[in-house]
Parts: sequence; structure tokens; C-alpha cells
Amino acid sequence: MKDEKQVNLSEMMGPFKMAGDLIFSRLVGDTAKLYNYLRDAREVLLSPMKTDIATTPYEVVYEEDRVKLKYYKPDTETRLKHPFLIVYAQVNRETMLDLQPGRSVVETFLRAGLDLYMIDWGYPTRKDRYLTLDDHINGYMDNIVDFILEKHNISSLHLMGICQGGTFCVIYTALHPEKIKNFITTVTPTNFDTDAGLLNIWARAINPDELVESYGNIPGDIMNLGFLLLNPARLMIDKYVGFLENVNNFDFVENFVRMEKWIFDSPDLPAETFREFITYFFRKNLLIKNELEIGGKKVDLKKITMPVLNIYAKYDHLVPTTACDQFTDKIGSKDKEDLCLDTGHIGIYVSSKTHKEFGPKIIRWLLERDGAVEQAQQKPAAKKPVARKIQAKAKAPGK
Amino acid sequence: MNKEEKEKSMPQGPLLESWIKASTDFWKSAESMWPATFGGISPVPGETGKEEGDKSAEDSWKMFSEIWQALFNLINKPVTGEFHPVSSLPEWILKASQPLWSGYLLFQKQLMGGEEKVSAGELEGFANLAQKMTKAWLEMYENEFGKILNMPQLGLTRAYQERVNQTIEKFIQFRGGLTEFMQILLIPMEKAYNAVQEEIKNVEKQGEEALKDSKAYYQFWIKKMEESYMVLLRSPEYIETLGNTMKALHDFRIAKSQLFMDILQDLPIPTHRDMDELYKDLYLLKKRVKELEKKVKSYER
Repeated sequence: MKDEKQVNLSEMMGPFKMAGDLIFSRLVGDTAKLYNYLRDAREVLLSPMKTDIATTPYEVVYEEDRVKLKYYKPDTETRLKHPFLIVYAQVNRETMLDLQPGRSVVETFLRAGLDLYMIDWGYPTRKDRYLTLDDHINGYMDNIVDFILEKHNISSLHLMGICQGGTFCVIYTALHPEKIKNFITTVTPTNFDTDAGLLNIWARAINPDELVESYGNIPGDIMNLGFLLLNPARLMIDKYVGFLENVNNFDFVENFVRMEKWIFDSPDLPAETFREFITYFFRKNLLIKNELEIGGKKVDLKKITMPVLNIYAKYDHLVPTTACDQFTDKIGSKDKEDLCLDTGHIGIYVSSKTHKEFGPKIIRWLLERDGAVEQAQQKPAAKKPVARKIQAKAKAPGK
Repeated sequence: MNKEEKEKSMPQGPLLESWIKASTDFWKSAESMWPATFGGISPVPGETGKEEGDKSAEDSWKMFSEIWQALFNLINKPVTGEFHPVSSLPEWILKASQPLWSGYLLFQKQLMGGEEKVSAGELEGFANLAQKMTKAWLEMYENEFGKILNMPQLGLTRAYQERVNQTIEKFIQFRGGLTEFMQILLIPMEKAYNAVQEEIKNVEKQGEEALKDSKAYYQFWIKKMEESYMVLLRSPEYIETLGNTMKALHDFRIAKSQLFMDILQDLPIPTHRDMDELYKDLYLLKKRVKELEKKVKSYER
């Protein structure tokens, strides 16, 4: 008989056994089924797979230190007068926009005839630790914009920023508004004074000076660990249980591995940029308060007067809606639009449902405002510049 | 043997004796817990092979326990003749080691206390027990061994020895912080597990077969765990532990880096400090060149 006063180790170890027991109890339920499952899984895992990401051909047209500029030639004749530049975050890589054929934002843009440029921030090494926000925004970004403008012999281009890259773009656009024809922000945090996202809460608990002092550049693995801890149950357990359940499905495994490759391909963050980003934004929230200074110049959001499309995601666990939805109220533009999609932070670019909405919306919006020759063939542009807020309609689980 | 003789044979006195007693009691209680604790891992009644296996493991445990007790009985015995191995230890060694003995004794007492509390139901589960053990260990370390590491160093190698000690101390503190952090992360797992157990009991009460649909139980477990994590990850306790762990990591990395610089300075390998100085110069030079290039370009236009 069990003595109630004694500690039962099996109870103590229970949580660890839970997932394993349930999986294997299901598997061993039917021996024939288990045999087939293992045979198929073996076949799938040992077969050659196409898990390369970012396979759309491009040309590197500009290089400065570790930073490269990728140029994607459109599949059809160019339909926009102004080229289109995308700036991704320094956390993770821009390859997410071209994850796999058929689900590639890059492909969608090229099919629509956009002259597409994309910044590849590369992999910072220790020598990049002193690079500041000013060096990235008024240095690399400005040089790249000048290069494109000179190449096309024009005075402005369309700019799209993604996540942290979007924040860089907001600063750039406020400092150099004359070089931007139309501006799109996607899942871009501008207001950091919110407790809706765990990152905002945690960032206030850590000391960026100490991290920079002890690490130099902030390792991508540390950042990734932080992202996994945002939802350990789903991202560290359930995701891989799902993988085991579908390991006999070739397409599933191929897509899963592609996503894993992208998720854990995380460059380190340049130390000074990280320190400034945490201090200026997460701790002091200077951007939305119009109190930020970069390179000795004030970043005045009112100087953003070109058309602006601000897209964010309803179920974003990294950049919550409250971090994005104040931006358009603070800028000087009259033609501005907020669009909240029914998805998560990454789902906005890769989920098959949103994929049909996101790319085409941007293409339409740009065509209406480009002033290009082909504009007449497209839908007529809005008669008057309007400020709109469009909310997602249906409720659906986010990514 | 009378008490006087016993103390004469053991100059470390009642301290070692009480430690031996506490140790023996501790392992004895562990032995008595054997069937419920280790036998409970896979309680599959009727599987004779398994029971035999458990029996053999239990026998080995008993044998180990007996050897342990015999060893200490031997130490306890008065030593006569020419050789007095224990009593011949210089007194200063025994005195110097006193903090370690008393620290270990304190740790063991706290553990025994923790066990009583677990039995009484004040604490529940692995996470809380582990947390208690870590705290007891860290407390013991800070009160005893940690003080030794912080003793002032003297002489030519003073600074070097201090850095070695600092690295050891910061490493121990970081490991302690990390262990606490990991333990706090285990709490939602345990809560979710308990919720599932409760659910199974409820289903069984209704006369239905438990675990009929394991997938549903798994989903329930994951959902409960996710909910629990969402509460934990926003809690002040978690944020404080995260902050403390990051601080301990920083302190350890800085101490380690300084120690490595001492080691590397005798080798033809540049340290981080050397390289960072160079990188800073390079960064400033490049910045200057780029500015000048821009100026020249603007004049050309």
C-alpha cells in the first residue's frame, strides 16, 4: 500500500512523460498502422528533399561591407515607373519573403512587373559591433537608395519596411522624405509603450548595456531562444509533436524543414544597434513621441507626407497591433491607410490564405499611386486622398 | 567506549559525528522510500519480470546503504596503536574545513526539512522540491564556500588568483540562477499535468474509460500548459528571475573574459580587448573615409 507521506517519483516526473506517453500510446495502438507509419517515415526522411529557400534568381548590384543589395528582375515588362525597395529586419533574414515556390512574396511582385530590390544585411561579425542606427539608416540605407535612384535616373522610389526594418524605414523616410514616392510599413513597431507583447515587457527587464558588454554583438541564438520562450508549449513541444504526426508526409516534411531553416538562420545583431534599439525604443519610446534623434537630426514623423500603407497582423505575438496602429495618426500624410490582417507575424507573408491578400493589395496600392504609364489599364486611383482604417473581418487563429 | 574516548579519537568532535548521523538518517529514509518512489515509475502490477528487476535494484540500494553505514562505523571506532589516521590530522585542517562540514550539514538539514514539508503536503511537485533544493544549496554556498572564494589574496599573483576565484564564483552564481530559471519554467508543465490528472479522474468518476482519445488529452494538456505559460511569462516573479539570470550570465562572462585575457597574454593570440580596440579604430577610419567620399562626390556634381 502506498504511503501517502512518501514522495512518488512518477508523479514528480509526470509532466515529462505526458507528451511521450500519449504519442506512443497512440502509435502502438495498432501494430500494422505503426509499422506502416515507421516505414513511410523512414522513406520520407531518407529521400532527397528540395528544402532550399530563396531560390528566385537575383543579382547582387551593390555591396558595402557586409551589406548587399539584391535585384530581382520582373518576369514581365516593368509596370511601375519607380523601383521598389524592401528593407527587412536585422533579426532573421529576408529569405522569408521567398520561402518556397508558390508561396513567395517575391514571386508575386515579379509576376506583377515590379522592379524589386531587397537589402540583405548579411551576417555581422565582431568588427561590426560599433555600427549604430545612424550608420545603418543614414549610411548603408541612404547609400543604397542613392544607388538605385542614380541607376534608374529618378528622384524617388517606393519603400517597404518589414518589422524592425520597417522602423528603420520610418526613421529614414522622416529624415529623407524627398527620396520616397510611396511608403509601406508591414508589422512595423513604432509604439513600444505597450504590454500587449511579451517582448515589450521583457525588454524593459534586461540591461542592454550589460548584454553588449558581455557579448559584443548579440548572438542570433539568444534572440531565437527569446522568441521560443514567447510560447514554449506551442513552439518547443506542440510544433514537434505535429512534425512527428506528419513525418510520413513528404510535402509536410519538406515545408517544415524549409521553415526550420529560415527560423534558425539568425544573424547576430550589431552591439551598438541593439543597445540603441532597446534604449531608444523599448525603454524610452522616443520614435512615436517625436523625440528621437539619429545622426544629430530630429526624426520628425510629421515630415512623412507621401502616401502611406500600414499593414499589421491581428494575432501578432511579436509586434502586437497596439505597437503599430498609432503610426498613421502621427504622420503628416493625408493619403494613409491602416490594414489589419487576420493572421500572425510571419503568417502575413507565408500563410496561403493571407498570401492571396497581402501581395496583390500592395501591388494594387502601388499601381494606383505610381503615376506609371500602365496606370490607365488598372483600376482608377482613389479620387481623393483618404485616411482609412481597415480591420480584419473574421476571427481566426493566428500563427 | 565512553564519550570521552570517542571524542579523543575524533578531534573534529561532535560536528563530524552529527554529520555522519544526519547522512545516515538521510540515506536510511531514502531507503525506506524506495518502493513508493522508484517502484512507482512504472507501476504495472502483474509484471513479475519488472518486480524482480525492482527487487534487485532495491537489494543493491540496501547493500550500498550498509557499506555507507559500515564505513562510518569504522571511522567512529577508537583507533589504537601506532597509526591514528583520523586523529593525526593537523588540527588546523579540521578547523579550516569546519565551515564546509557545517555548510553541508545545514544543506542536509534543509533538505530533510523540505522532505517533511513535501510529505505534509505544503509543497507539491518536482518543480517546488527542486526549487527548494537549489535555494538551500545556494544559501549554503553563499554562507560558507563563497566566503572562502572571496578571501583576500596576497603577493605577486594576487590579481590573477582573484580573477580565478571570481570566475569560479560567478560561474556558480550563474548556474544557480539558470537552475532557478529552468525550475520556474517547469511550473506550467506541472500545472498542466495536474489538470489532466484531474480531468481523467472526472471522466473515470462518470464511469467512462479514461484515455480513450489520447489526442484530446494531449490537446487539453498543451492548452492548459499554454495558458499557464501565458500567465507565468508576464508575472513579476518570472521577469525578476529572467533579469537575475541575465545579470548572472553577464557577470560570469565578464569574469571569464578577464581570466582568458590573463591566459592569452602569454600566447601569441590577440584578446577580445586587443581586437575591439583595432575594430574601433577601423570603424572610425571607415566612417571618416565615407564622409569624405560623399563630400567629394557632392563637389563633383
